[in-house]
Amino acid sequence: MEQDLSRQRFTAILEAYGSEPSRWPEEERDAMQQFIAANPRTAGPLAAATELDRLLDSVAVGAPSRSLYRSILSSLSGQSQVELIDSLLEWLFPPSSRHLDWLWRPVVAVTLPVAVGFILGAGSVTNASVDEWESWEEEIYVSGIVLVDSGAEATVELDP
Amino acid sequence: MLKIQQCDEGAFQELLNRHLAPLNRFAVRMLGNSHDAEDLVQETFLRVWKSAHQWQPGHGKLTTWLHSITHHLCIDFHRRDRARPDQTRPDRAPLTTEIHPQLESADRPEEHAAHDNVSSAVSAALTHLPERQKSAIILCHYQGFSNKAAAEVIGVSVDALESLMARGKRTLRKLLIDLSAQSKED
Repeated sequence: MEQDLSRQRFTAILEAYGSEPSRWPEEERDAMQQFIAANPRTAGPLAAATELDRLLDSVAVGAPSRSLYRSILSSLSGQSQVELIDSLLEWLFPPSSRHLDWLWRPVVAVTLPVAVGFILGAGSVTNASVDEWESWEEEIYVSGIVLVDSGAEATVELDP
Repeated sequence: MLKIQQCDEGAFQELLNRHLAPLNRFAVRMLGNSHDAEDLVQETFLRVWKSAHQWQPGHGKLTTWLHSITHHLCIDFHRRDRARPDQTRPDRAPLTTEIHPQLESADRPEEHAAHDNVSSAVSAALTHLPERQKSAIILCHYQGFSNKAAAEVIGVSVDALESLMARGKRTLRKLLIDLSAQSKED
């Protein structure tokens, strides 16, 4: 294949990627192998690169703690709440002053609950009046029955 | 990832199961300690959750994107760390003082002691490298990245990546070869 790998390029690859062929650039791997096979003087630099690789391989890192996994997930749900509050605040007090958003949105936010309260209050008053009328009618009706049962005197008093 | 873009927490958990360990290894090697690394990895995943919409399937592998976020957070971390006053900054592991007392420890088998000694010396030496050199070596040597993917994470050309790795390894060799010779003698 591409046998024309220069000694300079061989050294550059070895210095950058080390002695392990799987780490060499894929497209130059075969050329490196051929260069090494054809040049016995590559043994020295290869041994030096192997030694550095061995030193690097001596560093092992343990698995992450289970608490890290949990804290990432819990911060995620906290993040959702923060995002909700942030988006609400951003809606209420937008950073730009375009279209007077900064004015009408807080006004809407304040007046909307008042308006809703007023509508609900008005509705409940209307219902109360109807109930009140119904209870008055019932009372008059019951009073009438009582008066009829109690005899003529009462009738005279009621109907002079 | 498309599900995460739709705020699917189950899909996010799957992503976490798959990528937490490699990203944690990357951060520990970059920062030299697991405490800061865990904070940084947590920040990485929060950014993934918040910025999931920025990831596009056609623009490279997911693992490259995740490592790129972690890499940039590590750079920011070191920038902030350098800006802190010396009294509040944790000391870098000193190479010489960390190596020799452990070599003399007699209460453990010699081989284990020598291995631990070499391992801690290499870790300490890595923390002494400039950030991009360190990142290039860690990505290609430990994380199994191709040169193109590693260059993409760091944001440099492949030629520049090779230069970063070669310079970093020359420095490491200077720091460590003497130690290696010493541990062999012992």
